[in-house]
Amino acid sequence: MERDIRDLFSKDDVFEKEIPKNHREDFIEKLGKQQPKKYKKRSYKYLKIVASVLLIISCVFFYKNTIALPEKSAVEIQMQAIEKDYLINIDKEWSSFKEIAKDTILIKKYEEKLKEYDADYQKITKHLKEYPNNINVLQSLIDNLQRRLQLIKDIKEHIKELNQKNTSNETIYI
Amino acid sequence: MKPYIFSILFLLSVTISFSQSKEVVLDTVYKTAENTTLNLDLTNVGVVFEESPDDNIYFNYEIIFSRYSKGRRENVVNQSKIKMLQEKNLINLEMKNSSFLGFDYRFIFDEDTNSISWLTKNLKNETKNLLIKQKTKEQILQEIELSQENILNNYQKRNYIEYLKKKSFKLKKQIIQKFVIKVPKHVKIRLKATECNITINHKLTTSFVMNSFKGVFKFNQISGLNSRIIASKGIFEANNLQNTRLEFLDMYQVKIGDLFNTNVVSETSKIEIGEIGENVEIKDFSSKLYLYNFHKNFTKFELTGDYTELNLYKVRNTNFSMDVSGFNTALNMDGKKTSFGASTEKELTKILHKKRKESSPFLGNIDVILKNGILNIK
Repeated sequence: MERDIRDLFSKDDVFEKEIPKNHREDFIEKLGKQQPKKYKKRSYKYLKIVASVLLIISCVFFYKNTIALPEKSAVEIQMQAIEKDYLINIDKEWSSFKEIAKDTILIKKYEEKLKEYDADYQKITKHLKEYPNNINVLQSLIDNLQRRLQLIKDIKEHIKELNQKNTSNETIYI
Repeated sequence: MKPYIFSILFLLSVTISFSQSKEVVLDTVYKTAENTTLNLDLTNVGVVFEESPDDNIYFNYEIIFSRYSKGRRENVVNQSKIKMLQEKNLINLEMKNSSFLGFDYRFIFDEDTNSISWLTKNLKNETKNLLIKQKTKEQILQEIELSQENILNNYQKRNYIEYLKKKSFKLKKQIIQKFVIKVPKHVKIRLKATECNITINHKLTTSFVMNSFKGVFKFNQISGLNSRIIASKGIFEANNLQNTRLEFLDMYQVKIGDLFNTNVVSETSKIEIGEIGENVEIKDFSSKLYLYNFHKNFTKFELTGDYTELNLYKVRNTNFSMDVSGFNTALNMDGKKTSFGASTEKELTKILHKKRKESSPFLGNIDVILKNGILNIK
C-alpha cells in the first residue's frame, strides 16, 4: 500500500486557518515568558584581591613572628632590661655630675674612663653572643655597668662635699 | 636476658661516659737553677702558687667534668691554648682559656642557666657607700684570710649556688678547674695576667713583677727587692708588702695588712691599709684611702692627692706629728665640715698641724698635700 506523502498534506486544512494579525508580537511575548530567567553574574574580582592582601599580611605577620626574629632567651631579655636600667642611671648621674663640676680636666679624665669601660663592655658583649648563658660573661657585664655607675656617683658626691659653704682659711692645731 | 644485654651495656656506657671524669690538661716538671725566672702570660686562668718541696717547678692543671659527653669534654679541654718553652734560665708559660671556663678554678657552674635574677638581687646594697670604721691590722689580715671565701660567696655567686641547689640534681653539668704551680723560693716570677684569679700562698722573697688587668690577686708576702706590681680594674689583697712599687688603676678593692718601703701610685681605687710602716709614699688621683694605723716606727709618711678622699683614725690619741696643706679641700673632724683654701690661684694653704707629744714614744711624721680633697679624721 504505497502512498504519496504529499497527499496527506493536500487534504489537511491546517493552513486554511487565518493567522491573527498580532500573531508575531504574541509569539514573541509568549516566547519571552517561556525563557528561563537570566541571573546576573556576581563578580568575585574584589573578593579575590581582598583575600590575596589578607593572605600576604598574615604571611608577613607569621614570618616576622616565627622566622625573621628568633625568640630571645629569658636571660637575654633580662639582660637587656638590666642594661637599659643601668644606662639610664649612668646618663642621669653623668649629667648631674657635669652640672656641678667646674674642673674641665677632671670631666675629661672621667669621660675617658667611661669610654674605656664602654669599650670593655662591647668586648664582653661579643663573648655573650658566643656563650649566652655563661655565668662568667654575665657577671663581667653586670660588673662593668655597676662600676661605671659607682665611679660617677663617687666623684659626684666628692664634688658636692667640696662645694659646701662653711669655709675657713685658718689653720687648725691639734 | 640475652636480648637485653646490648641495651644494658649501652645504658651503662652512656652513664659512665656522662658521669664525673677528670681531664689532665697540663702535668709537667721543670728543673731550675739559682737564677731561674718563671715567665707567665695568663688569660682567664685560675691558679694557686705553692712553695715547691724541691728545686723543681711543678705545673698541674686538671679539669673535672660532671655529666659532660666525651666530645664536649674534649672541646672544652681543646679550648685551652698552652705554650711552654724553656730557654736556659727562663721558663715561659703562655696560657689562654676561653671565657667559657672563666678564671675561677674553684667555682662551680653549669651552662644551662635560664635565669639571671640571682645576679641582680642585691645591686642596691652593692652600690651603697658604707661608712667604714677603724680596723686593726689583725682585722685586715683576717678579712684577707677569709676573702677567698668572700669572693667565692659574693652576692652573685652566693645566689647562684643557692640557685644550683634548688635545681634538679640529675641533669646538672659541672666543670671544676684545678691549677697548681709549685715554685721553689729562689725562682723569680714575672706575671702578666688578664682576668685571672691568682693566689700565691708562699712568701715571695725574690723580685716579683706583675702586670694585671681585671681579676683577683691574693698574696701572702712580697718582700723581694725591686718588686713591682701594676694592677687595674681588679681586686688585690696582700698580708705584707715590702720594697715594692705599686701602681693601682681603677681597682675595685685593695687590702694590705702592712706596708714598708713602698711607693704607691694610685688612681680611682679603693685602698685599705691595716698599718703603714717605714718609708711609705702615696701619690693619688681620685681614690678613697683608708689608712687605719701607723707602725710604731713608721718614721715618715708622705701623701700627695688630687680629688683624694683620705680617712685617718685616732689622730688625736696617736703620737705622730702631722702637717696637712692644700687647696679647695674639705675637712671633716669632730662632726664639723669645713672647706679650706678655696682660692682660684690654687695656692697651698696650711689646713692642719698636729704637734708631737713629748710624754710618749714618737712614731714619726705625716706630711699630706691635698688638692680638691676630702680629709676625714675619725
